[in-house]
Amino acid sequence: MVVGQGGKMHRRRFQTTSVTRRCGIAGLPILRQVSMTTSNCSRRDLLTSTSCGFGGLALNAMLAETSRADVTTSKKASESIAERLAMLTPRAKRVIFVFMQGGPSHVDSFDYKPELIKRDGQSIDFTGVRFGDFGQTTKQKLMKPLWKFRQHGQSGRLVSELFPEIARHVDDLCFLHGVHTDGVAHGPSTLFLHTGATTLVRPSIGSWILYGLGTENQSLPGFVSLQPSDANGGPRNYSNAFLPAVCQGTSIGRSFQAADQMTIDHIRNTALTSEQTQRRYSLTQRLNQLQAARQENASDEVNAVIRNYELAWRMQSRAPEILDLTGETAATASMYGIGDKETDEFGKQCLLARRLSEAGVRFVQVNYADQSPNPRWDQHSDMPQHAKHAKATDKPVAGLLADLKQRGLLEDTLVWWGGEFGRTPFSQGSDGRDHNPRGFTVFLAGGGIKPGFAWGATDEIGHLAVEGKVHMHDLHATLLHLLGIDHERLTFQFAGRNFRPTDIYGRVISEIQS
Amino acid sequence: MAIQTQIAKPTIVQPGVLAALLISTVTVCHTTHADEKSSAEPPQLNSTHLEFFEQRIRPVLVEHCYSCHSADARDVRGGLMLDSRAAALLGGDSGPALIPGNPKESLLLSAMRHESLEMPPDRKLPDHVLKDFETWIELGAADPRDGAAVRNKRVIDVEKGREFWSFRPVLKPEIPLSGDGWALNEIDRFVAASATTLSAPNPAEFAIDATPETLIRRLSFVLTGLPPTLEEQTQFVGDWKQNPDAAMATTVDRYLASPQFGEHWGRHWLDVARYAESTGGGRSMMLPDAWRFRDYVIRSFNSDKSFQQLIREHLAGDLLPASTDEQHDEQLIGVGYLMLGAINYEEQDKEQLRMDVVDEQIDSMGRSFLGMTLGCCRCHDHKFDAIPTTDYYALAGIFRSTKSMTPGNVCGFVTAPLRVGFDKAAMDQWEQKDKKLERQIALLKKSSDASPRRPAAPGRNDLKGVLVDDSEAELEGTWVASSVQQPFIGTGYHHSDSPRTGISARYETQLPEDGEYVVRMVVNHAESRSEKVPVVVTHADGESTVTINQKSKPEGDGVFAILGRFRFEADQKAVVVVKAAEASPGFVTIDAMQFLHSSMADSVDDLKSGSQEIANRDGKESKNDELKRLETERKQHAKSKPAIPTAMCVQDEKLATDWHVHIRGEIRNLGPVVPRGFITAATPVSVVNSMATPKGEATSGRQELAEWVASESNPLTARVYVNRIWQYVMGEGLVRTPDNFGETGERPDHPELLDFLAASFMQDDAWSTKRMVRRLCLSRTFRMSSKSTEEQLAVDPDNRGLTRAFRRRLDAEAVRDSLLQLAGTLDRSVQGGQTIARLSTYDNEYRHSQHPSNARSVFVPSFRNTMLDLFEVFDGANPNLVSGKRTRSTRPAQALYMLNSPFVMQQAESASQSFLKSSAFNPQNPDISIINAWRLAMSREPTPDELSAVLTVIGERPLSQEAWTEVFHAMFASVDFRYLD
Repeated sequence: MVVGQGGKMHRRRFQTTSVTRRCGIAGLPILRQVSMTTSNCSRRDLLTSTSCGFGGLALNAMLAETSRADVTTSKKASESIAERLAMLTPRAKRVIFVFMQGGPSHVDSFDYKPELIKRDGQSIDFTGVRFGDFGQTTKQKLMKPLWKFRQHGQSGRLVSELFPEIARHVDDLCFLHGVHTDGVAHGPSTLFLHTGATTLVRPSIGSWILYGLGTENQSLPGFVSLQPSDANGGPRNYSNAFLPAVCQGTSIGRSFQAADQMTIDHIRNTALTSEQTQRRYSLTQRLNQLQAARQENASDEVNAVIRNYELAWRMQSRAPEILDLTGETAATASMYGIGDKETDEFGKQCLLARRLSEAGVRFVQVNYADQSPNPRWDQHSDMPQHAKHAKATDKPVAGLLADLKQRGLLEDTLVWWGGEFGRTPFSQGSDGRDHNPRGFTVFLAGGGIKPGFAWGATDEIGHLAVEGKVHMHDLHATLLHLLGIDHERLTFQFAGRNFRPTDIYGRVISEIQS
Repeated sequence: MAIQTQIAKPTIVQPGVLAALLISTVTVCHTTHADEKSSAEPPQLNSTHLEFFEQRIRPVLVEHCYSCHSADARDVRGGLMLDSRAAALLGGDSGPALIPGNPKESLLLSAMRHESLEMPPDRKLPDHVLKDFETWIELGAADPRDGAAVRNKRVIDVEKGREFWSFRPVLKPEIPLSGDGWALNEIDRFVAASATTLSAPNPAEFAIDATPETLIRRLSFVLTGLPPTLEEQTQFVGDWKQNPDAAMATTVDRYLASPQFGEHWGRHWLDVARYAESTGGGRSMMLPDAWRFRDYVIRSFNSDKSFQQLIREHLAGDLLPASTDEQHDEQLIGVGYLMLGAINYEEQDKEQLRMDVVDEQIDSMGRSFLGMTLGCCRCHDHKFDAIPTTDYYALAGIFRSTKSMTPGNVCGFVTAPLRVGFDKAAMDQWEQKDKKLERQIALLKKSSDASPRRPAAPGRNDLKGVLVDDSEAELEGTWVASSVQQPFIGTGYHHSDSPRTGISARYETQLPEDGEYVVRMVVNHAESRSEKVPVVVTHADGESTVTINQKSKPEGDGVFAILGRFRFEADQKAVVVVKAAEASPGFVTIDAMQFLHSSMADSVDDLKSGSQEIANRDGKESKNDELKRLETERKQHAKSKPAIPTAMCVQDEKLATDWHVHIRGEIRNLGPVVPRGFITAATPVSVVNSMATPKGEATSGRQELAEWVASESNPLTARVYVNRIWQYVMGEGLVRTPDNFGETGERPDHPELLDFLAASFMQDDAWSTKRMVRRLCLSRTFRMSSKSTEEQLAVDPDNRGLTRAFRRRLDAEAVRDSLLQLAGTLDRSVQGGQTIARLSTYDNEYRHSQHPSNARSVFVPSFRNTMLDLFEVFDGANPNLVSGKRTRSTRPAQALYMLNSPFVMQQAESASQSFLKSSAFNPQNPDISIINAWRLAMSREPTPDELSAVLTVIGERPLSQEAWTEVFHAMFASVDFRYLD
């Protein structure tokens, strides 16, 4: 018997980060790649699958993809997507992920630990996880939360003073207190959060969802990341990796730009008048039609190009309308804290997220992020800074929850709030906390989620997840499940083997489902 | 808390039974201790034990384990079944689940305690359940569940695997006789011959030759990635009318000789080599020297370097002999191939990172050169191909013996100096001055008694007390003797090898008299050393563990670190153990251990802080000022050090070693060691004995690996490479999964043609890319039109029979380069060199829009976090992955880009501007102007409909630049602009 040197704490690490890969997925034979080229078959198959959720955009684009790509190519592959979709009843149709980059402290916000308060200042033995202290035991000093906790709502959840607005919504929320993940530094953990891998190149969870479900709208991308950071993996966090290009996340704005600059690249021609634009578009499409006609047997691919121009033309008028927040009422804007200095920026993101969801965008990620390799919530020193970040996000998130609810969208929208990890219950320096991937809190709300509920726990000081443990893979599996996708059957063949969003891991947490 | 317990309530046990159980537990425990023999004997299955199993164990197994570890599990995890006695005893991938009578050694229990694995994964079961399992195992693990231990472990039959098409030796087939009157060369005869075996039309129904206009465009894009100029078109069409074959041959040769060939074909190879100028991952570091590899690839294709040589340089360039500085540099840059992977250098578990780098290298090499998905074998035998895990770890031994990273929180990558372009005279001059300053400083320090930076260690005989040198210590595990770095005692010191698993050093001596001793240890400090090395001293009062920092210079004399004062007795052994295996990352060194009786130790204390104090006491302040001045000057001087050009490359580790299999790919789950080697199934039996294999500790074995890959007897290499050439020339490969020649890849449509090409490539073409490209371009197959008939589409929609040419979309680079060329803005002055306009540590701050470049696309900086928008939109190669075939998506983003991007708008504007000034523009005759514009952009004349569509736009303003800008913009955005017939 061979057991890891580091004993128990390494188990997750060496198990998941070491790419233990499963090639054949039970029940799904690996399909020999039979290329279909221009096949009308694949179009037909895709058309039949529209009833299972393929919207126009995915259909058109995937049609073009599958007409040639050597990736899944075959008829069978497209059928199997449909088959997989038919298996579960979806509880939610779309996701809004509110990403708190840098790692907000759970013991200071949603994970109340009286024992930590009692033992403030005491030493504990801590086994290092970082380069330099890997496996080494050191003494660390416990630090009590810097904010007071109070019970809220019917459910009586304890929330600290950091989040007074979110606290009002606890009866709609489901807290996962036993979340744990892979990676210790921001880069690896951020990539793991999004792609389920710390070092290897894998598709983002949003891309997987889009791959599995397609899009619901015809004028917007199906997977959007608002003001994402270029650091800590940057675009790889919303990248399709080896999935079809249509599953790529689209960034709207960048974290170094102001919220007012949130737009889709090239969505408008800013140099020409609309009449000029119209003329150029018309001439282009006229030529395209003639060129398609010139070929005796115009391929689907050529027709797809033409259709994509039509689609782009529609997007060009529709998308800017959706991106334009000025049409919202003053009351709505103020719900999100728009207009208040501290909350204006993030409020706009949250409001746009609602508008995009409403318009049928499958996966919207809202980023409280910046360009730094040590992102916003990363208080290695000066924990009181948490107050600033809480202030900037609390009201916007609460506004989003309230707004979704009042519009009836919360019923089939899954909201996920969380960071790439939590923070340690002991101090770093005099007033900081280090990263803690071994136990932290995430909350969910909306489609299919038990409201006013909490699941799992960290140990008595808030360090390690000990009960109702939810690994990041499990969280991914659960999200997919709620969307009606069996994470073990959502596979894609690349480079000779079938890949899954959860590698060979992932358990659906059924206890939190309503 | 709404934590819901999943734990089954303990089954209600009748009081009597419980009492009996408790009693029996106690009794058995006693007997075990009392009688060693009885525990070794097979356990008795008495009814009490069975009842215990039924009531305490089985329910837990059923509820918490069976979902993953039984025949009913959807997916059995870890190869472990727990639904029969035999299965549990046999265990899974990590060994037996339990050893009856021995709870301590039972993996099942340690996993349930979350001490080894963590099972069940979501929580630890309550203590009383764990106690039950302990008791049950202690009692002999009574278990009535019959049933065979089935392990569905497939054993790979390598011999059978060799039968797979791509593992069979490459034999040059007979050239078929078919195709008379149609075939131009052997290729066509193979294509014609197979027309009868595939469901394709008969040879008479192959597509006719494409028009010369189509062919010149095809040749120009295929060979150079650029559209043909009007002159080239006119010339070729004229020549074609004279003699088509001669026109083709001349043009192919001209393009092959042009530098644009290497730029375009180099780009193909850069896709395969997953080239980028940053690392990717969490902190995506720029690779400031990666451009050298890019230029090297372009150079290699332009000079038609043999592919065999390219393989050698890519895998072992640093180890190859070089007769000139140029050759040395070329080879060193070439091995940079191994460094180009997308690596997350920030990963904190450095052992994990190390194996991930090894994996990336193996996987990329496998796909680039062998068309094999070797990465699959990291965790288990390949499920489809005849490649066992042992083959993977045979390769892993080679790459683990290769150093690619430098240590750090975020690791660095290895670089080495180049010889050319390095100003030796300037460096000599610089070094002279530096040495002079160094000498002056040393002299001054000596005279002022300041302690030198790195003191020479005293000779052994000068040392007091009892000295045990490393040569006298008992060494466990692998230590490497060295004398590279001062200070050391005796002939040298030992340093740890990687991995440090199970290594330690034990110093043992008998001290002459009772008393207190100061124990000191020589610390050969360096940045690469471990910061925390536990050292255990066994003395008269017990055992003490001291942690030594080997990174920094020991205080005092700079040689010895003090472990402490301990009492020893003369009749007991004094033992000091350096527990190197448990040290923090870095090398651990061991040298002499010194035991100084306290009577002598006082003088040692003097030594400790003495020198500095003496210097101060003497008040040699003026000298100190001078020293400061000199030191500042030297620091300043360091800044003016002439730059040494460097290349990214790998190096062999100091000590090459074979490596373990990692069970299930887990880095700390080590299986047996396998000798370094290659893929067995791809090594013909006939050459096994004559082939050089990696051996010994001196070299990693990469050179042997390169020879194996580049060998004519390797069935994969030439096949995979000629298939790539075929794909780039024809539009689709003979095997349409160019990076996967395994079971899950496609089969060749024309296996004999593929073998003919592979054999010709090795035997006749001397591994020359250009000769192979030329062969293909001069075939009839290349020359066919891409127009397909209804009948062809019905019978062979995929064109497996190669009865026509493939219509293809231009790559992102060709789209961009065409736009620039037509706009007259292509910057041909950039032909290599560092093209990153703003170097920084990470790539994420780089905005392509702020550093516009009109150079050919291959020279546009290629980062993993930020790609030029046009490349992103038009499916530029994903530099994170080996990409032998571009994806070809059709997305609205492309339409938006072509309609609205400032770049396309600008090029349309410039194109119309230069067009109106050129002779192609005829102010009197809009028809002629439109025809010429069409020839420029599409290499053909417009159809009458196209002509009239444009005329309606130009209408009354045939001289208006705005109108022509509109036309060029629409042409650029139109389908035919980005497709190649």
